[in-house]
Amino acid sequence: MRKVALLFLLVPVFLLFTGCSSPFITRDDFIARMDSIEQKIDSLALGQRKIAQLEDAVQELAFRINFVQAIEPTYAGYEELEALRAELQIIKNMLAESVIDSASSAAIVKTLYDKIDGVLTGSVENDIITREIDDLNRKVQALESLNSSRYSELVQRISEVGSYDSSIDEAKYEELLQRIEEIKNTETIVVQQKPENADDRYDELLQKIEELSARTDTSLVDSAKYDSLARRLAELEQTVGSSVIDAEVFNEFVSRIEEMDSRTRELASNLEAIEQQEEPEQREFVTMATFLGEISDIRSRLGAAAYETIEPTSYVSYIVKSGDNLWSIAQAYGVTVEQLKAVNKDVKNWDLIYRGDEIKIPLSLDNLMAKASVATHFGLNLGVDFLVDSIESNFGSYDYGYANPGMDLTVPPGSRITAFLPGKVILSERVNDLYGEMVVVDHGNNIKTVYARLGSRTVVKGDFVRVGDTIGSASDAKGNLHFEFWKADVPVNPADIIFENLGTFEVTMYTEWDDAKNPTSPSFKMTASGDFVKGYRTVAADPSLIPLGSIVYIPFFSSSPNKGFFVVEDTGSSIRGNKIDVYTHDFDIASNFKEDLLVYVVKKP
Amino acid sequence: MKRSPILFFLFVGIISVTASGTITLGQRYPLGIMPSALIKVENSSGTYFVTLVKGDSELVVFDTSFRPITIFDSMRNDGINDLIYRDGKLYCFGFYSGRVIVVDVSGHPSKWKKSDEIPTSSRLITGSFIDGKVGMLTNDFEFLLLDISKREIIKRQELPVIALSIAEDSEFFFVSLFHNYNLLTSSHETEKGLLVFDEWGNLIKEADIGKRPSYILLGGEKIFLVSYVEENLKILSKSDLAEITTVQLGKYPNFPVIHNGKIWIALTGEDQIMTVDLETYRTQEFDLMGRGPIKVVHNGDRIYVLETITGTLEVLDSRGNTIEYVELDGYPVDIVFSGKEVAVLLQEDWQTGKNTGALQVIRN
Repeated sequence: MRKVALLFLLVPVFLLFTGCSSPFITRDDFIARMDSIEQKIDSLALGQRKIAQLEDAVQELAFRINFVQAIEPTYAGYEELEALRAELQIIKNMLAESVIDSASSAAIVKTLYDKIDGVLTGSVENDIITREIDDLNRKVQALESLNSSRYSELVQRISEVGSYDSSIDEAKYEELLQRIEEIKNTETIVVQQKPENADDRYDELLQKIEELSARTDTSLVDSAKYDSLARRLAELEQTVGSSVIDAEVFNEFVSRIEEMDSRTRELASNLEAIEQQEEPEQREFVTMATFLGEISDIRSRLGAAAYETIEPTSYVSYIVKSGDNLWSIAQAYGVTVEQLKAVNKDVKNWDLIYRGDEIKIPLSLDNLMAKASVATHFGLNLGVDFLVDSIESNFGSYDYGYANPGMDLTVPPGSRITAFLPGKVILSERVNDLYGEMVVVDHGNNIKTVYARLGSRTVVKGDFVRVGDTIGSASDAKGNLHFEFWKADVPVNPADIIFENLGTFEVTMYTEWDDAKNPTSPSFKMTASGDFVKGYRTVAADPSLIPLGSIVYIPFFSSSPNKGFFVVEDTGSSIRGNKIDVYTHDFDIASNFKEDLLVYVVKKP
Repeated sequence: MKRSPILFFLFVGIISVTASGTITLGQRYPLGIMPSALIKVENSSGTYFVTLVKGDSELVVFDTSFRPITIFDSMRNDGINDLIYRDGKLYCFGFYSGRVIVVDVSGHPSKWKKSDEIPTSSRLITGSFIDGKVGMLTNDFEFLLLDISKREIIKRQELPVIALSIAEDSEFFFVSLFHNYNLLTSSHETEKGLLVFDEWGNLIKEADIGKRPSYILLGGEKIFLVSYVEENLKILSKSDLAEITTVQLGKYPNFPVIHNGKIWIALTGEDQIMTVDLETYRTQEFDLMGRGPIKVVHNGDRIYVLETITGTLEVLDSRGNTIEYVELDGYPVDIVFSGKEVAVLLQEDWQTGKNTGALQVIRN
């Protein structure tokens, strides 16, 4: 009997020492804890799945980057750009010398536009790819950040589970020690009490030992569960461990991006080397920004050349459309029928005018297109901040992947859009998503205007409009007015209509450091007008030509944050005549920049 | 369970690398034209940061969380060019009015008020203190010594050219003659580069030092003088102004500071910062990601660099490795720290495209 009792005592002790759980954790508590741990494991598994998804996403991004890397880096191919620039320069010179007549300009313009579009389409595609790479970089950073937070979460959870499990172990160990002590004491008592002197107390002790044994049996079952749990935890650790290895994917990904970056730098450096080799005395960068600036400038010149063909005649030449009559034409242009008859003496029978006939209208286009009044038709004021905020896309910019033939503005919602020249509505309908509600007006003299993205139209095809007649209203969307001005099928920069073209200026750049001033100096960054220089705003000019405080527009800088608008705030000892010095923070740009550019005056003080 | 701690530390390691010290942009407060300095003011009411908006000649006061509290705009006609904080008062130097405006900054900023206005008849640039007397530089080729308690100019010394920087120790004012070299004629307006005045405004020493000496630093018995045209740092003996050595810097050296036995200086034209060891005079350059560094500021074991061309804040570790690079959309000129928050003063706001400045709050 004593051996049996000892056996009952030693078995649980043995089992407990070999790692079984405490026999004194109740089944309910244990199951509750197990449930809790399993929930945590499920949560961890969910986290794992999310990480796996993230990794898949990153892999996909990596493939996309590989794809992008595989594309030949033709970003603004140097030779092609140079060739086109040379051609642009020839056209520029021809324009300057007025060699191109209005008859041949359309063909030249078309050819040139095709070439420009050919190069720019490719370059814009590359630009888009570059933007996509930037976008991918941002996404990767976001993913890394997200992944990092997931890791953090996982670590937190693992730590919680670990500490929870450890706490169980410790408590269990303590309890075990305590119970073992109790069992030992019980054993001592049992041994001390002789069986032959057995009494109730002895039976009670035996019962207690049996109970202990029973609990030990229970713990055997539970320890199996514990073992299972331990295995699952070990698996989890391994899985989590593998996600650590997967972090290498991120590193590899980052290194690929770095590699790509270094390749780009290498390419840029090669390009620079070629430039230096060809033009050792003058270091010049052919960047996409510079090239687009030149395109904006040349497009404006072409438009200006076409615009200049608008003779300062004393009449408007109107081509009769279907449904026109003498009275309607006279009313549209605000003249009397008698005035029309007086200048159209070759028309013998006014009851018989046909489509395609030319009617002279005794009006001066110069008067009609007075600069100050034109802007009012678009709801514009000529403050520099208003203009910068209003102009969404400038003439000739490639914001939409093609050269903008007009100007996109954001005018106050609900603004009345009015015709600034008299003419006949030849189109009034919703065209497509890009142009939206659109009105086209033929003004005669081969001039057409396009008003698009209107909120509503108030004219229909065939209507005549007079100066100031409402043709529609602006919506509350951004870029709610797209305006184009066409002369002889050549798009004219609306700046030519709204602003005063001053012709070509030699434009250079300067910085606040140019005269080795010191930031502690009261005159540091201070201009001749007493204002402080600001990037994308301040220019120096000859005040006898452009007074201080004037706003100027330089199409070359249309893609800059200031949309090409500057304020004449400074002067310079070497800035005399047709010269403009543009302030910039960047001394590298300043020291290399010198261009002959078209300049407009928006407003004089 | 033995692997758990290993994994835990591994994870902690990964996270500490990937997420260490991430900076996030916080609130951005528009300011007026040309904000130029951030000064910490402490009084019985609390701690505040004061910025001088130079173009509008006003002070904007922020609390320690960089929330604007009040605008002190009663000096608008003075054209304040610079200010210093001393003994519970702000001394503001009026460029247009020629007045020294004393602002009592005790108590809550809403109660701050002008306590004195002392005319000087000269366009004031900057100044420094010795024992109740302010040594001032003017745009009218002068060094002035103002006795604050008597409210009178006790010395008016004519200078050969305009000086921009002044430093002081307990006895002397040290003045560098920035405009001593004419860039148009490529000749010296005066050979003098450094003048030393005693606390009574008497000229006691002078030295022929380089072209366009700009910033002056004093350290022990040495004077450190940055030459803008020669692009070097001249180290002189304070006692006799003898040149100890010259260290070549680089293009447009700006805002030198002494930190941990070295001079740290931003080389705006080199896109670098440089250190000069004060014992060995050895130099070390640190390349930057951003361009146009104008100021280097230390906070703890980190180095903060303000970059004007790229409009960025670059944070370096103690070994000079870039650990953060933040686009600020503006022209940063000053930075201050308050707990975990950092505020950067921007002279222009590229974010909004406006020509005014801004205070950009950053969280470390």
